[in-house]
Amino acid sequence: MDVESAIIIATGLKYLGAGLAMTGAIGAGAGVGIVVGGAVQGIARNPDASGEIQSNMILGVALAEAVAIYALVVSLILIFVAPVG
Amino acid sequence: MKKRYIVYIGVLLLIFFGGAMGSDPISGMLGLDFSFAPVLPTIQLPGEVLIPWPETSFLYGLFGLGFTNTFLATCLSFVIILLMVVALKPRSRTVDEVPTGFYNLFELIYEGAYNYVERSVGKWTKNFFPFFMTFILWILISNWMSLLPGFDAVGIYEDVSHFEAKKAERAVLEAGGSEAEAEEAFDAVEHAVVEANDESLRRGLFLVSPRADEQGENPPDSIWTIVPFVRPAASDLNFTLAIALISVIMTQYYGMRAQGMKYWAKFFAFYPFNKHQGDEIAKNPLAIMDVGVGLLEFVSEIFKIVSFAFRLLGNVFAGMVLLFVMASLLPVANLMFYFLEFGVGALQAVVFALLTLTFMAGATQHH
Repeated sequence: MDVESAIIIATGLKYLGAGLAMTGAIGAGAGVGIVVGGAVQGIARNPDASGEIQSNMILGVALAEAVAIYALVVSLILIFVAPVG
Repeated sequence: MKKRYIVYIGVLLLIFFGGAMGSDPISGMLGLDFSFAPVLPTIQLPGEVLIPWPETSFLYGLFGLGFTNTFLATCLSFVIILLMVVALKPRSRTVDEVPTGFYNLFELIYEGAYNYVERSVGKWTKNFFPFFMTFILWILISNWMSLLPGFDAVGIYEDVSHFEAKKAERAVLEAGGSEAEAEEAFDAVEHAVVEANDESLRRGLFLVSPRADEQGENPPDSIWTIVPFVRPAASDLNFTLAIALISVIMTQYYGMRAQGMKYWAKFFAFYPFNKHQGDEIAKNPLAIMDVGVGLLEFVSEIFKIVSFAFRLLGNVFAGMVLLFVMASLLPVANLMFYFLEFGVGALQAVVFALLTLTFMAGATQHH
């Protein structure tokens, strides 16, 4: 195999890796869903506490979402920053 | 009142007409020999260098390789905040008046934020509120500012070969190579890209993509790129890391101010090994767990910097790329994603400030 085709394969693998890195978003999606579901149930039971529940919910969502953002940063670095060869 | 709706409808029509003008087939049907088709701007993580520092000056190396477009955006956000101070400060003196307009809106936001902080941290309000409000205002302004027309889209219209060659040149200089070596790398990359594209070298400052060259053929899109003059400030790691460091270091400072050196006992819980409490482990073997938990907490404290910095960077950079790609694929679709970015920009500002407040409040409480 010559150098050129090796570089082409390496580029392809780089993009494949970037795509695979985004599977990390699965957990974040489930996490955000659970957090918001819990918050909505809480608000439905006690509408007076909705302000406090909402701000805690946003915090929880941001923390859960951070994991997906790490995955996104990894895949962005793979696509735009990581050199080939 | 009715005039206002005419303006709204006009703006909407303008957006859709502009979007139609942005697609090649429609402008071709109108018989134009050029289109306003947006060109995909360069996508790279570090800010693009606009004005390289002279190599002899003290700025070179100490402040990076040059004046970047993300730093220009940061400066613009400073200017906007200073203008707001100048505009709002005289109004705050007139107490009797009923507040109206922009001042009223700002007072609403300010009072809401102040009351929230007061409810959550009580006597620490005077210490924590400046951080809370600064983070909200600064991140909000720099995020929303990046949605203004002209951000990302206006810049130096460049041949990809020239752009790639400049990147290679910079890489050699950064690695400590001499200027002659850098020039060699520049020539090599430029030559290689031109060969690959079989196109002559073209660069310049155009705001409209030329539809056809001398032979009457459309230039392939892939060889054109835009180096924007301004890019969202938070899409540069330097911006987000700076405020993340401020947030985490000040959290430690307030923790120590509230509890003294006892604050560090939370992280380095070596009390089971104390000589005077030699029987502690025999009485309660689980006390040894506290050591591990404390160290874990210390690591997570350091990781907070990374988490703060990358959350903001990831959200803003991903939004920027989303808008880039949408604008160059289907200009009208960009309208919907602007609403999304509007919400994300506000949410990230609030989340950053809320997390800072929560961590600071946690650090001041003994446990």
